[in-house]
Amino acid sequence: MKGWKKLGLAAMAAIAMLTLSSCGSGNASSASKDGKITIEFMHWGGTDTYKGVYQKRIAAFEKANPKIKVKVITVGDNYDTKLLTMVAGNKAPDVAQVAEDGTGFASKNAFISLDSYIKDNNMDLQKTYGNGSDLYKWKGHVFGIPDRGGAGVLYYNKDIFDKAHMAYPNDKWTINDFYRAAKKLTKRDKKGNITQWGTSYADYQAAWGSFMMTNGGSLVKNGKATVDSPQNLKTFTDYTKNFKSSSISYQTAEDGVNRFQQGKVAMTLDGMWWILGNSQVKGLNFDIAPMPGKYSWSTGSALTISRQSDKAHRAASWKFIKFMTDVKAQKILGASLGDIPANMKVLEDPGFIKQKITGKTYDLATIAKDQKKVKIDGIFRGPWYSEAITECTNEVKEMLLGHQTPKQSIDNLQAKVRAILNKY
Amino acid sequence: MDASTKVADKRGQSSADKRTRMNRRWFFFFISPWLIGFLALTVGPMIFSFVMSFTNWDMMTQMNFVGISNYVNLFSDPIFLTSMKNTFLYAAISVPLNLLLSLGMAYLLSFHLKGMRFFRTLYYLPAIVPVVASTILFTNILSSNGLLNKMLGFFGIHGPSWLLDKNIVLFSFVFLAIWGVGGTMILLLSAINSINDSMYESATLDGATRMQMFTHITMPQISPVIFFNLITGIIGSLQTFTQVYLMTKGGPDNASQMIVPYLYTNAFSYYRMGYASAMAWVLFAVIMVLSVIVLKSSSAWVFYEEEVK
Amino acid sequence: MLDRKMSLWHKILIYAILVVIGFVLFAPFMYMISISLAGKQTNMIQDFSFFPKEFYWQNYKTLFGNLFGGEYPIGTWFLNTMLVVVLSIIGQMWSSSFVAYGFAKMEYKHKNFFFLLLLMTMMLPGQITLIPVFIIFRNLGMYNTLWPLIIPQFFGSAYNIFFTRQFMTAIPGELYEAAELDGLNYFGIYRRIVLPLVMPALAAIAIFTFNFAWGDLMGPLIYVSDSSKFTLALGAANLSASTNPSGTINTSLVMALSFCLSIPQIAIYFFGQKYLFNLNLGLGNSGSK
Repeated sequence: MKGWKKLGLAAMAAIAMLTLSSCGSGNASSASKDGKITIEFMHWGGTDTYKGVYQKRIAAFEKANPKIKVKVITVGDNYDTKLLTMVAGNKAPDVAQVAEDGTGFASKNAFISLDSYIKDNNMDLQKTYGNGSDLYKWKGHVFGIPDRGGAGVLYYNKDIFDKAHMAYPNDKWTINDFYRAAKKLTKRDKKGNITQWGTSYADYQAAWGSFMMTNGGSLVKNGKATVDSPQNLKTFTDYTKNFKSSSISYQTAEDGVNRFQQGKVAMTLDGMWWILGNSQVKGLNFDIAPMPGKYSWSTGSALTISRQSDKAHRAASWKFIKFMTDVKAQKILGASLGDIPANMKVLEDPGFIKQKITGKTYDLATIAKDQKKVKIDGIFRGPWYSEAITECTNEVKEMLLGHQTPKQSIDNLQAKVRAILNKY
Repeated sequence: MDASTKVADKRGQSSADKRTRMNRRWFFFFISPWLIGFLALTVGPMIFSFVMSFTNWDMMTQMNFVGISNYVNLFSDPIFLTSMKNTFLYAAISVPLNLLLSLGMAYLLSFHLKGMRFFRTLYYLPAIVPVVASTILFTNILSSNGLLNKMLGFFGIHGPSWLLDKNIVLFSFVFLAIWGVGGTMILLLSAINSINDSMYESATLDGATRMQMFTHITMPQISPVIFFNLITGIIGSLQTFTQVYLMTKGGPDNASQMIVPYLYTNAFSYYRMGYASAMAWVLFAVIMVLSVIVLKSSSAWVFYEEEVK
Repeated sequence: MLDRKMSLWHKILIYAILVVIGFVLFAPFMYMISISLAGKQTNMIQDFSFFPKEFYWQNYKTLFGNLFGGEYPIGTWFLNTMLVVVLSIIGQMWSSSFVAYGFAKMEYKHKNFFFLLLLMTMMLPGQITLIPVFIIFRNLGMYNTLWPLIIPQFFGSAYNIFFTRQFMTAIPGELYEAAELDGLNYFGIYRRIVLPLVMPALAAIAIFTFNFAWGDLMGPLIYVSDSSKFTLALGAANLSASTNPSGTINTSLVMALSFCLSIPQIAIYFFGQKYLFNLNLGLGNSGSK
């Protein structure tokens, strides 16, 4: 029996220590003492995101506003669930970062309308942040100010283009120019295996969504499913045809190898956050160009104020948001290139465009051009976004895998999106 | 009956009364941990969940009663119907296959040969690998150029993309289940080993063959264990979550979506607490019906010895 | 099974089958170890061999390099997991023996009714109560803590209670009567007599509980959001889904962590197997000896 007792005692001691170390902290409330106020700010990503995107700007804000302290909550995964439980538990952070999912929360009345603040400060969101700002509206009221910008962008490998004696992609490129170049740059060995891919794109909406909008199509318009249009059929048909001839197949991509960084892919369509990572790859000689075609899909995020915050916290939160999204702080963001600033003035500023990233300059003027091409599809304009876009990805993937024709995909998707919209 | 016996009888009765009351108090004292948990974490939540399944609650805005529309919508929700079908199909393939294989392996291991301890341990090892670890591992094994296809290639077979093909993606989960077959096997093995040798001895004297002994002695003797594994296997496979969540997220195009992961997505990604609750009740009904069917059928094939007290 | 009259060919055949099955079941382990030891270049092209070719121990060093910080603070995760595991085991051992004693030895008119209730909860899928229980713990301010994973264990689980009760009914009644004559009350009997006697059963429960708490994903996934509160299983799941800055999943690292996640469970099995086998793993065998 003594053995069991000893074991029990040891376990007790272990628990006591562990309890002290990891279960101790609760939710400290942000009470204001001696005129000081603490606001909570929540964003997703890891510590790298915090360091790259927010740390310096928040330090600058706290220096400029000594009476306001910002408590940062960094959420690694399941961000929406965390925000949901905080809102539901009446513990919502004063300022929360939101992206495409923001409308969902706004439709549940989680954020305050920023209209009066915008009016008081004479802000022109359209002019300052481009069309991307359209994303953060619910029933005509603005609930978020764009903070991190970005649209789909075309990355290309300069060496591959040079070797083929082809001109680099430029801002006049049409979708067909892109497809044609991709086909030319795809190389096979004698057995027919691809050794160099013209492009790598797949079910990511930033790529096919941009092409769809350029062709005059849409997924949702005025709250109605509009997938089964002839424009979309054409977009999907071309997209599939070129995927088969010149893009990395799913079977190959399943290993998760980044073949663009290995120099085996001529062009790729993706978000802007790859610039920094790609620039650090030795031997990769790349640059960026705007998304081919007339429109581009938005990939940014905004800052919101919680409805649960009291008057003082709302005022402080607005000061924070205003500071973070204004030129000074956005320049700090642009300089580190942890992410893309949303503020157009910064994107067009020579200081931003001419900066060196890992020792090289890139065509960063592209970003402002691309930002202006952003168009917001109706799929963003409702709480249905997460659910609807999941099904879009599913159908596009099935189509690209060759399991169904573009026509079938369009029809399936039309039915699915309509059913999803009906749920809300 | 004289007075003295009456008094004694009364006294006896009252002390028995007292004893019963004492005993009752002690009974509730001892079962109180479970009873409190049962009321607070089972009955209460069950009532709440049942009520919630008739609302459109999203945890953020007000709760509105929507009648039975959650249940009606469930049966016109193509993804839910697909996940039901997938869950059933997965259970229908993996549970019997698992039982058959584990029975075969347990039978092999029951021979008194040298090295059986080693094989027993080897076969049981995969079953004790945490599901998270084994699922991550199998995601790599089943990818287009993963281990399985490399092995098949060794025999000149061009393996399919297990995780990308709608028609075969469910087999990925069957493979995963089969790898953990040792869990069931070890239970069957210990049941086989606990059968009294004298039964076989008398059968041998009667001139029974090995096959006859297996079907007439071994199978009936271990049938309660098979029954137990069948029930837990069905219930467990209907509640599959981790494997789907980690390996395919229900893809491609919901071809591997199952009830519990879909419930999770609805509750925690789309904030449909009411809808997800309705789903849980449908799952409960399904499990009940299947359990009752298996239970009813068991009297025909499960052999019970006299209960050992 | 009797097998005195087995021929040599028979034996060879059986061994052959055993070896083939053994190979198939062991191959994934081999692959796991091989991947976990693959070098950077192999990870870059993600082409892993079946047998380990490289022995790049750096993966394990990277994994254990920053125990309490960085992207994967596995030291913190381990402590969190241990907290949950140890408290869960204590909770289950206590509650199952306590409640089982009530059901096994106390007399009460409606005892069978309560026992039936207990058995019925074994059929109830956890998903029914998942959301309400989540809301209860959230309202108690326990979201993003480990308590929702621990507290329910102190209320016992139907399976463990049933299992322990079966074990208790097999204890001869004279032992209790002798104790009663010694003037012990029921709690005294529970503590002095019953608890030591059912320890083997509780040891098996400890192993079951360890296996569950150590590998559970759904629980931590729902209740915990900060990386500093993760358990190892959730951490591994998260790591397997995230990419490193160059966009490629570091498969070797994920596999190394998966391997480390498996080791304690295998170790527990080796130390605990005598309890598991002595008990014939419980429930299903209550009919045969």
